Amino acid sequence: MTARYQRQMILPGFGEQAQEKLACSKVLVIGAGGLGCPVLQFLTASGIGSLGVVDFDTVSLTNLHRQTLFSESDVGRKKVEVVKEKLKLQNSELKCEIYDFALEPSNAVDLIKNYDVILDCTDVLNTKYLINDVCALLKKPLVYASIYQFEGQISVFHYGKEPRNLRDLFPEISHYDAMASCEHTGVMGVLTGIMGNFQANEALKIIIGSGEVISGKILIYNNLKNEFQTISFPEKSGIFLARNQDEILRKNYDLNCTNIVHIDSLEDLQKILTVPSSVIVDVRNEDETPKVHGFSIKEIPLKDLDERFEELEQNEHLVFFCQSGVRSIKAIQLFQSKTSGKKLYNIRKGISLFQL
Amino acid sequence: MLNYTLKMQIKTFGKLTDIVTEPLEPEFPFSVKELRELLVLNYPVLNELDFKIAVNHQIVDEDTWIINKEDLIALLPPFSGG
Repeated sequence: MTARYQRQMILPGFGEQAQEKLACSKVLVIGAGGLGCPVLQFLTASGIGSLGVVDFDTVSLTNLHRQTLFSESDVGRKKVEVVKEKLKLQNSELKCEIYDFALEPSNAVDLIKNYDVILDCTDVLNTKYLINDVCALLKKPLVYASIYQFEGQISVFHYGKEPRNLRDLFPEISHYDAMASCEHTGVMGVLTGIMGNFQANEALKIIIGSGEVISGKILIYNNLKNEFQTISFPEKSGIFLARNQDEILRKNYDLNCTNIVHIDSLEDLQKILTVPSSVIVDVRNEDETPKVHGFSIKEIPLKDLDERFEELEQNEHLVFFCQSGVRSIKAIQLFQSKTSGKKLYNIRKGISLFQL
Repeated sequence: MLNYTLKMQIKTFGKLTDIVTEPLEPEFPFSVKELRELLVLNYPVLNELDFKIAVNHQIVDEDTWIINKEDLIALLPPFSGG
């Protein structure tokens, strides 16, 4: 093994064998954002042999305060492409596979099955449940982390003699949490940095097979108070456990629903708007910013959509958007339950499509 | 004025920190299930939110677990950011 890893190889219990394990391992990182960037940088530095990176998004200016792999000149570029470039510069021995799409029930099993350890660095609760369920099915150790303002949670699922499942803690996604999941709250770059490093640390211990992995417990860290709290949790009976890929496909994750056309570019949006009976609907709350200018937009918060339904009755082509593409899907589902024959579109990336 | 020792401090995480702001004053001993009912009564918004109750750093069976005065209570919701 090369000299570059000498300073970790001389650690007690590390050595050449551990370094060899890292070199042979295949790790999948889902989400190249606030958590994903430190995870990718440290796993690459430590000598992981093969990294897969999943992200459908492009770099935006508001990413830069916490997503430390990206520079100003990367704004507008595909995240996974920048990631691959930067990581190869960091460590030329790394094998890096990039996946420029959103993880969905239809592609998750085929992707995850090729990797040894999975890191959930996403920021949408529904996706976190999909990853959890697929890792449970395939018995892949999953390093889970999540953030809320000044607090982060971390735990490892589907690992060891007494594996745990995200659903042991929270069996189903509540409607409220799914909606709240897309209302962007503030986040400090250092907190995602700290939690991402916690994730990288767990992944390394799993691969090397030393130390104590945080399984059966969830660690909560508060960066304002410097408080750590560890809470243990038992296995729960009766939770959803997919027995095969079909059951994943049939499970409703609310990620994509039938008859929805996703819009991923401004050009596609412009095409739809040439139809006279088209309308764009902003389903965010009135006080959410930034506002979108340059388009004729109807503002109906998701919570009012049911009672203000008739305001949209004349429109045949309806384009919905919110902050990040979760509530807009809820809006479309609500719409589908009340009407048929209308063409419904979802701006998948939410507000960032408008490049504000 | 109630006996101070009967006040129970509750450690909260995530958005629950802005919701559960006052210590409860229950009559000990009581079950975790009763604690949840008391919380929802005081803070109806909790009806809509998912959270787990930990006693002394452990998620416990809510139907059977009995809380005593010295116990540390924490409320844990799911987070979703990243």
